[in-house]
Amino acid sequence: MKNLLCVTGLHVNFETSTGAVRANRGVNLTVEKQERLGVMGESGCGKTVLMLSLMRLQQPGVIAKGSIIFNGRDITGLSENQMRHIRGRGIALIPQNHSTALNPVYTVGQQLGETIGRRHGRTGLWQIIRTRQPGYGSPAYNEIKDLFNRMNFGDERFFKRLLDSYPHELSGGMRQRVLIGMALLLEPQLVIADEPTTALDRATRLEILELLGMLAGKTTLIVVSHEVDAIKSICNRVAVMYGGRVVEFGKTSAVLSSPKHPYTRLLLKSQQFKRGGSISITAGALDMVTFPSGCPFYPLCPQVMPVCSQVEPAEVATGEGVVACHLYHGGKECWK
Amino acid sequence: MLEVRNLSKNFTLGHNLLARLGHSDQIIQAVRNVSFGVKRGEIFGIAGKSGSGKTTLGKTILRLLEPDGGSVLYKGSEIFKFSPGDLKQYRRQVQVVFQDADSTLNPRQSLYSALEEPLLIHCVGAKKQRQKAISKALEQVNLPYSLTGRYPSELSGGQRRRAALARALVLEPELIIADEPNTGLDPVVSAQVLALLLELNRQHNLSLILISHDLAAINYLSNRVAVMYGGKIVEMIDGSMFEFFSRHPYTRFLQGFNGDVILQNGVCDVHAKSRVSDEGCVYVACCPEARDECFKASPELTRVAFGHLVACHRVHGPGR
Ligand SMILES: Nc1ncnc2c1ncn2[C@@H]1O[C@H](COP(=O)(O)OP(=O)(O)OP(=O)(O)O)[C@@H](O)[C@H]1O
Ligand SMILES: Nc1ncnc2c1ncn2[C@@H]1O[C@H](COP(=O)(O)OP(=O)(O)OP(=O)(O)O)[C@@H](O)[C@H]1O
Ligand code: SF4
Ligand SMILES: [Mg+2]
Ligand SMILES: [Mg+2]
Repeated sequence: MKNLLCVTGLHVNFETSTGAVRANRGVNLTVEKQERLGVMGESGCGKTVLMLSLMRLQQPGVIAKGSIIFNGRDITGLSENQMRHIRGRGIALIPQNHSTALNPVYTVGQQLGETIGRRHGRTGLWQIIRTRQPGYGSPAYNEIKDLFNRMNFGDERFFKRLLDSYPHELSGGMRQRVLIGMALLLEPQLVIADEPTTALDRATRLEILELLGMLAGKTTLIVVSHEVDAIKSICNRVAVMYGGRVVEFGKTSAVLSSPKHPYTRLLLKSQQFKRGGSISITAGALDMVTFPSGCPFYPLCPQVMPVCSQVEPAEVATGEGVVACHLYHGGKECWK
Repeated sequence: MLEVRNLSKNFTLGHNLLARLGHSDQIIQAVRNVSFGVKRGEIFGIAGKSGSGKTTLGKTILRLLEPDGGSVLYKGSEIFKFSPGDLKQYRRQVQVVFQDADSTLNPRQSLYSALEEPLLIHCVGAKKQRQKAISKALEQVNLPYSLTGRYPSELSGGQRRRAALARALVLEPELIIADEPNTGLDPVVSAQVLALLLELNRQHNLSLILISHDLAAINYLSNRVAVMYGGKIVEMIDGSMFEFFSRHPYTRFLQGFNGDVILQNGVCDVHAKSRVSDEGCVYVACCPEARDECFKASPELTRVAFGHLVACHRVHGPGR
């Protein structure tokens, strides 16, 4: 069994007053053990929803169809109680908005201490009773210190200040690293990082990338990011999402150097806008409730064909990767 | 149009924190003696390290924080002396897009009422006109109008960011302080947001203070660029010169000219290594080119060429 995670045909819906939001519409994805998978895609295309679904935290969304097989077990049918064992030690999430991910009323030290407690299986009431900061020199204290040393998180004095701080007293970069530290303390099999390098300066960004790179070979990693160079430096495979589906999937080197899907091409091209350049397309405007018939990208696609507005393209294998676009159907499923 | 003079802002850390550990340095000088001016129709870019005080500077300019020193003049009058009426007018003309979109949007307010609120506060238009203004702002940031019924928790991270931007645009301000307007957006949408800001600047003479870690964005838009480190402006330069003629070692590090520094020094966190000290240059702990004098005296922001100011002993040469 080589695959740690296997997502097939995943549909996730949200009911709203203006209709059902179809945030994931048949996502297929496999993640091998020890792999580093990058996920890119349009703003609002369903990346975060997919990541939350992997931990069954997508509420109020509903998994309408499809399966998520983690470690050989379909987790879509597990009870909350069973999921609690998978969250944390099985899959740990570094969430997208680090400003609200930490609990504002506890110090960083208390929250890190609690994380260690959780690893030892202390959950529920026990967790609340135990939200006490690890004392100086205690095993938990030393463990956190070791980790943060490896993470290059400053000297002893700084470390003490950090443990005593409340989340709002830290800068964005510091909070981001605390969250990564928390995920690492759990020693999970799969780490999911949802936009870990957003709004960080170059030094801090490099540091965090290095940190995530450090994980390589130890755990499996999924990184959601809009930064192509970040994905390039950490990930060995990459999935590109558009309109609630994976539209291209393959080796990072292959996808980034010769992108196949027109959206991937557009994405990579927009990366290198220059002083004085301009862009005319209006992307990011899907509300995920009503989709254009056929390929969701066809209204923007520079290579659109008549068939594109009629039939949604299925995924086809191209070499080592997968792409969902009529350009690559070789006429097989194409309407003539 | 806007002039910032010797602005300073300190934070005192809570008694629960350092006081308990017996540390004496409880004051963080988030912004130290910063001066610059923004002309009408100008885009002023601010780049700099995480925690260098960019957000604090922006908040102080908006008078969301009271400064510890210095002044901010808007069209010639001091904003810290504004009457409540003037302040309201000021906050109509000067809009901000916060870095943290999640804290700008009220979780219990639908997108529509979040966008309508500024219009109501400033008594703009009848219902029809407000609706028109809202749909225009949404269109500018590429959000479909059908999202207006949703609450912030029902939007994706990037959609929330764009909603916060739309909220700033809806009043058609004269100056926008945009704190990281394009982070968390995919490259295509991000390029569009930047193109939108540029277009507003060109066509409606919008002034903009653009705070960003994204040097490509700064480079793309700015007429003038300031680089901050440890609460100070260490370099100020013309936008067209920024890419190739910058001289401060930190700026050059940001631009990747000496990327190997990071490998030599490991981590350069002002918080960790050198709490910002009053002695010497703010960058001295991480600077690959530091000399003796850099540890002793803080370099002044000095003119080295037309429209180009640098605070660095090395650039100023010996004898200064
Ligand atoms: N609770 C919810 N109720 C209704 N719709 C939702 C909810 N959460 C997310 N959505 C919608 O689902 C879609 C996917 O959201 P998601 O957060 O996964 O986007 P994303 O790919 O992570 O985007 P970004 O890059 O902007 O973070 C979006 O269109 C969003 O508006
Ligand atoms: N409310 C506060 N209380 C105490 N310290 C604060 C507070 N707000 C900010 N600081 C401190 O002031 C300094 C400057 O923070 P600021 O948020 O302005 O940085 P920034 O340049 O915007 O960084 P980033 O790029 O990470 O957003 C930091 O050291 C931060 O820890
Ligand atoms: S299926 Fe058609 S519209 Fe969709 S990406 Fe491919 S060519 Fe473009
Ligand atoms: Mg997201
Ligand atoms: Mg900031």
